[in-house]
Amino acid sequence: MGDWEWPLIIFTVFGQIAIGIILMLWWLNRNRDLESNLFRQGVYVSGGLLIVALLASLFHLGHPEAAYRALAHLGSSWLSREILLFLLTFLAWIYLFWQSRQQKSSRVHGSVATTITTAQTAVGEQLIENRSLGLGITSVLGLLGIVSSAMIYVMPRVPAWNNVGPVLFFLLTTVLLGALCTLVLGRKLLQTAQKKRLLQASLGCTILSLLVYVIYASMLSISIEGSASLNFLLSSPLFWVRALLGWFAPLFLLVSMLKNSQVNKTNLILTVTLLAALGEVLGRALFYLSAIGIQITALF
Amino acid sequence: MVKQLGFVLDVNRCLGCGACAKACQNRNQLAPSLGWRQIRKVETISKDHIQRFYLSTACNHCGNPECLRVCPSGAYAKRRDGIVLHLSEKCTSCKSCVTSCPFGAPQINPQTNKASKCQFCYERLDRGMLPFCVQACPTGALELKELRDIPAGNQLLRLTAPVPSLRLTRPSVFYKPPSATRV
Repeated sequence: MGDWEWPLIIFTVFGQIAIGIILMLWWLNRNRDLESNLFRQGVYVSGGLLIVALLASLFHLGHPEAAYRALAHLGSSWLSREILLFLLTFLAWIYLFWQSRQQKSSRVHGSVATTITTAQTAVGEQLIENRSLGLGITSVLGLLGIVSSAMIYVMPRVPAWNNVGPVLFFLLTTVLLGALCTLVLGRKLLQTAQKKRLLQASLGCTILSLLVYVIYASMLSISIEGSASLNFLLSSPLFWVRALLGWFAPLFLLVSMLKNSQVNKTNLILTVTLLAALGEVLGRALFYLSAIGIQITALF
Repeated sequence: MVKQLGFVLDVNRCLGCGACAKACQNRNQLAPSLGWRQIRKVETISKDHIQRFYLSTACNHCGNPECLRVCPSGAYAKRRDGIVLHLSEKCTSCKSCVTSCPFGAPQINPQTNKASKCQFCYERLDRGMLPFCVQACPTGALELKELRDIPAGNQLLRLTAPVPSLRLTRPSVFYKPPSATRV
């Protein structure tokens, strides 16, 4: 049975929220019309989360002072690749941060200036292009980092992890919490249609997460260790709390918000985000707790 | 790799006395909670026969080691004689090897807070001596062999699982199969 891996829970969930926010900003900016304030807020919040995530990851190591050595085996170790990609994501985020500072000084979008010269417009367009490029690069690097994170757990020794499950769970958490956190940040800045799209993305991820989990759980019963993981999950009150907070309550709220055109209700947005985040944290804790490794005792 | 050294255990001669495990622990000055070599009792009772034997297990020095694949800091190396070494000075104690080894060979040493495992007493081997465990075995059940010298079709078994991906690690420890006792 696994342990409560708090450093890894914080690293993976916070890192995924940070990259999810950047990904959502990139998506919202596809027509180059992302609100500057939202861009700035998103960059600051995702950066803060990314820093907390990277610091938390150090506490997983018995010797954090030697963490730099973990980059030494890129040829075959997914952990090395994950660390490299997260560091590159952080470097790309620094570029975004620099972009956000530049926009603040030049006031590209939502300008209060009454007279805008052609030169200023050209500079503004260039900044918007740079912003889009930065968001795209950060998102792609971040997503590759998340896939590498998930691949660390795909190993023959742990049947519960030795499948596509970890990759799907990590990516779904990224999109789900990224969309909801972006919605929280942009609750006063986003247009109703944009909010609706983010809520639809969240609903899609919640439904997909539930379906993937059902398939994953049914696959676990194939092996003895997988069955033990499944029994642990089903008999754990934490799992049912996770199911309630992370799947059923958000599902109910999201459907209700979309059906009753309540996409602008801040209280509901905050509630569904909090519930989904708690559900994902518990889900990640259960991911580590339910890992049961094969104990080889037979001769073949 | 020029050769592949490995252990061969004749389970019919093994008494389960634990001399190998104790020699390993004492001579390598391991912490009490750490056991690079362990004794497992295996008992199978079926309708027409009983099998009861002991398995002395340690790191399998696999031909395709999972620990070496997953370690992010390159703290594992395979020597030309096939021995899988853990290089403590490179270890960051990320526990990847502990989680991924199908045989549970790497363990965290509470004294150094780093991974550790059977090193095949490579320093003794380099001086032409036998590993402590092999030397300590009172019945000669545990032997050191160059695996490529073992003829094919010898009926030796490996400690592994009926999972193809686990077999791919190609353990270098072999067992002479136990003989059944009729009831």
